[in-house]
Amino acid sequence: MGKPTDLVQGTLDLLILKTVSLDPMHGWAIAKRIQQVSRDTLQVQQGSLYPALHRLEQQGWIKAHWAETDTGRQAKFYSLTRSGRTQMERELVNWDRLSEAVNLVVHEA
Amino acid sequence: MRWIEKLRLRIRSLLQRTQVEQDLNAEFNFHLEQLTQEYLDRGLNPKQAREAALCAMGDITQHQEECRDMRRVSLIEHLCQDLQYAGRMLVKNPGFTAVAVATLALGIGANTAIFTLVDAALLKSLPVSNSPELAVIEQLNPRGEANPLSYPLFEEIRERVPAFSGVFAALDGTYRVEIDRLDGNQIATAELQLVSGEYFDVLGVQAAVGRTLNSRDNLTAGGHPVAVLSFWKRAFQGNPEAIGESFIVRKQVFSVVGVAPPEFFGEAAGMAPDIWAPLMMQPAMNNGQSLLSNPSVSWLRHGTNEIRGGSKRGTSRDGRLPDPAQS
Repeated sequence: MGKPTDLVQGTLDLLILKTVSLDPMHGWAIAKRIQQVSRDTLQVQQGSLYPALHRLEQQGWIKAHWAETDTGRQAKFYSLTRSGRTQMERELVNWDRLSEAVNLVVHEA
Repeated sequence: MRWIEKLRLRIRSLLQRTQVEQDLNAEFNFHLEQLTQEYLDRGLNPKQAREAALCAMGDITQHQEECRDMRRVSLIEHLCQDLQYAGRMLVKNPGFTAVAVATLALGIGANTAIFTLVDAALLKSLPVSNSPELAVIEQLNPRGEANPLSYPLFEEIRERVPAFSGVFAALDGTYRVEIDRLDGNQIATAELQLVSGEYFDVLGVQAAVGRTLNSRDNLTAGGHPVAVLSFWKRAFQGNPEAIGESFIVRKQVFSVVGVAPPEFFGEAAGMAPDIWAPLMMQPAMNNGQSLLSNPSVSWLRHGTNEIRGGSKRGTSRDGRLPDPAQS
């Protein structure tokens, strides 16, 4: 899953929102975390990751600040805002409904 | 505080573009460094690691452009959304909307009216040459109120006061008249002002088309059935040039000899006559009754364009014409 079209925009948003809801992270770490937790199934490329991050920031669901990483470099960390948390929950509900519906159709015995 | 944060973000996007650009570059550089480090960890040498990282990143410029697009498009999208939302809310609250609209209308209307008034009365000068020099000649009654003058007095002043280089008399107001075509059909109503022949010359106003009235239009009562049209009314006969056209007012035939320039509206703010005709035609306006030789009827405003000898405006108390040497 390298291509941006493979992942519906709302789903990528959900992945990002969920990831930063646990800890503030920079873009690189977000991509790595998603990859790890999904057991290498989902690999978000920077071509889709950063536009998504910037869009979410513009919409006020995540906010950014520059800070030092543990290796001493400066990086842009993203964290969840309050409205971002609301949005995340909303997207979660949508995702559950969607995946359940798809499951029903494709696993129809 | 969500909308404040969003607003701040949008303002930041607009105002701090350079900073945003630097941040964007720094962010991608950081990612590149991390990717390079990963390849280093896998055992590539620094040069290979960097190349591999660059290759894996793909077209960085394009990614950055997409990020910029995200911010820009969001701005416009949000603007449209906000406008739509505002529209919906206004429709949902018709009472509030009505009050808001009425208040705005009242405020704007009142301000416009007051400004127009002040502008016309105080700020704009008259559309005549030498307008600071123009003076009005009035007579003061015992209470100090200004009154108009009579026609014989005008003739006296004109002949006998050399200090006034040019004097005119004008009706203090306008007649509202019906204009008929020669065949008797009514064309329009208009405001008509009677003025002495030298009116336009004293004010220094040149005709836009044709000629203005001149002092030869002052000679005989009823003998000068000519008219000058206001620029904006010149087309009432359907002929934009109108020179030579005739019309009938109060059973008197007039013929158009000229059109005033567009910026000229008269000698006083607040008036806007459509037609100027010679004072000599006054009897026709009043059913043949002439006021021209009657010294006790005061109906005319007098003005002069220049008081020679540099004397200032002043008052004469003893009924004699003011001595120009005095102030």
